Amino acid sequence: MRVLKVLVCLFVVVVAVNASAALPVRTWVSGVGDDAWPCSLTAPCKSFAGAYAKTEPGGQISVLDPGGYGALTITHSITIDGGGNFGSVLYTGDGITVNFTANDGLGNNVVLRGLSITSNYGGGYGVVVLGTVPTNVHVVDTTFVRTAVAVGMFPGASGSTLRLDNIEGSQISGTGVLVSPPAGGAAAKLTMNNVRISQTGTGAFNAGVRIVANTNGTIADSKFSNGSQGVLIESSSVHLSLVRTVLSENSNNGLLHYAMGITTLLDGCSIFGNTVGVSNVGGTVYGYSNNAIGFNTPDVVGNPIQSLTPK
Amino acid sequence: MRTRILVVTLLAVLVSANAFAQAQRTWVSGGGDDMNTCSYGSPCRTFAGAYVKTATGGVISVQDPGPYSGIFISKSITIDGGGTYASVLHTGDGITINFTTTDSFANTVILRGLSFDSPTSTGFGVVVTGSAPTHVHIENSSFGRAGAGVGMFPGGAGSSLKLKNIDIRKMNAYGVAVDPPAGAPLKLLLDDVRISQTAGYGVILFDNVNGTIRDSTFSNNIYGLSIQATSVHANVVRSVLSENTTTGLNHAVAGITTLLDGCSIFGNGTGIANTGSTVIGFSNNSIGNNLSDVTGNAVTSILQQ
Repeated sequence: MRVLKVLVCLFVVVVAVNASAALPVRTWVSGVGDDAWPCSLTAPCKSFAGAYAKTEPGGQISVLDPGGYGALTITHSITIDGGGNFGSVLYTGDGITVNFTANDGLGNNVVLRGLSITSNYGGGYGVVVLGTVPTNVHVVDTTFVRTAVAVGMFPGASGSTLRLDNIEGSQISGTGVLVSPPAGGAAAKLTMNNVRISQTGTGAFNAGVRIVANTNGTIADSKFSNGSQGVLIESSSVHLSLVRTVLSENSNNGLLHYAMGITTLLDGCSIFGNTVGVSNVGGTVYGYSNNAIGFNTPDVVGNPIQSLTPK
Repeated sequence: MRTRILVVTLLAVLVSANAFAQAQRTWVSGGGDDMNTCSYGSPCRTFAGAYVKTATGGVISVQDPGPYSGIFISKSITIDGGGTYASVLHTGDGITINFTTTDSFANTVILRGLSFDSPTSTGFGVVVTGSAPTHVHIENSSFGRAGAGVGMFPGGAGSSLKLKNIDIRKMNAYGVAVDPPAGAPLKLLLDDVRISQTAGYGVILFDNVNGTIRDSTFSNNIYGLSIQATSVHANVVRSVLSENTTTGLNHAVAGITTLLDGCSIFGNGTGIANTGSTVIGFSNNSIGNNLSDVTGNAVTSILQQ
């Protein structure tokens, strides 16, 4: 009986020690974890909620690998930290083909994130959008190497959208971004942020960005260098604004208006070191008295830039 | 004959079960096999293999670096090679932050490197409620397909919200909504936040906010940035408001003052809606190509110093 009492006392002490032991400041979750485990690096938990309960307030939950970690309600200070690496597409033919022929009830939305897209043979489209219904494509944090065209946007229906964020394209044998929606109907909407395209093809219709028709768009904080044309616009139905964007070292034109009646806005752009900086025959380029154009021979062909007063 | 009918029936059931067995979330791995189910523990080998086993609007995640071949897409899908990005698939709200008392770390929550997605396009990705002042930092994260991306509704005055490198798309109502209580204003910092395809407001600031938005883009929403009360004092720096169907910068009531520094407001229905309110520019904002550049009071240009 005395032995039993001692054991019971010891047990109580052990339980008390466990209950008062500090929780770890750092825990881990993994897709193959288990919430019954201690959430250590080698014995990770399965859900944010499981790890949260075993993490010291003010501590950190780290993520070992991709997984669904569930919803969580937070009532004490915590850091949840995930990281990242790339999935890659090595292709022959075209890399990723987006081809909607019917509305899917979810708005026909395709998001491509964190990919590295490379052609085996130096050809084809990295991403090509075709189809017959309005399509919305968003490519982010992705690199393109050795393609003929990095992103080709040819939706068969008007009212489509293309958004590119943090894109790197190099060694492109044709054009970086080629946009050619249907000529009629609602204009395609184009949003590009932080897109860098260099080493595109040398042909007259090769460009960092080539927009054929019926597009309203803004390109910001981007750079199109060391190709044939920096930005090529082929129709007065394209309304493009370029913001803080660099067009440089292109062997033909930095910005080319390849039709009469095109209007483009330049806001804080730098156009340097191209053969022709801005080719604007029969078109209109508005600047906000904040664009730098130099080191081209010549800087502007056709109508001079109309300087507006910024507000 | 009866056996054959039974087998055919069973086969039909199996086939239809397979046809409906698509998951909202699948995985590929360099060590996977397209005969697998593409579950986390049994990943597929190629994007094309995972695509057919992923529900429309679902997500294919990449477990490890490796070539996954080309793919032909004809349904809404997200392919996320962000690697170890952690994800939250939610139908209600994703992460709810709800402090009812103040802890010794001042109620500070940091969320980094997360990817939020709602298959039902409902709920908030992150919603802050509670009754105590709360400080929330969200960095390097993406929000897709929900009712709203981030909702900041702390019950305690003097809260703060900081968003850095955030990608928000396809929300039904709001990209970012901020509505603190009266008292000390909420402090807001949005840095490199990109919001598009919202069927409502990219950013909506309801009340009692002091904040700076910089190097951000709100494009292709109904409203880019909307300010709803005179108690909101926002500074917008080097940001782009473009291709928003109704308005780029919207002052919803009279008497609001907002500063614009180096912004670009292009291609919206109305660039700036400013009836009875004040917009101060530093002679460095570009506003053009809107159906109507400014309605209401003109932008007040002051010189940079």
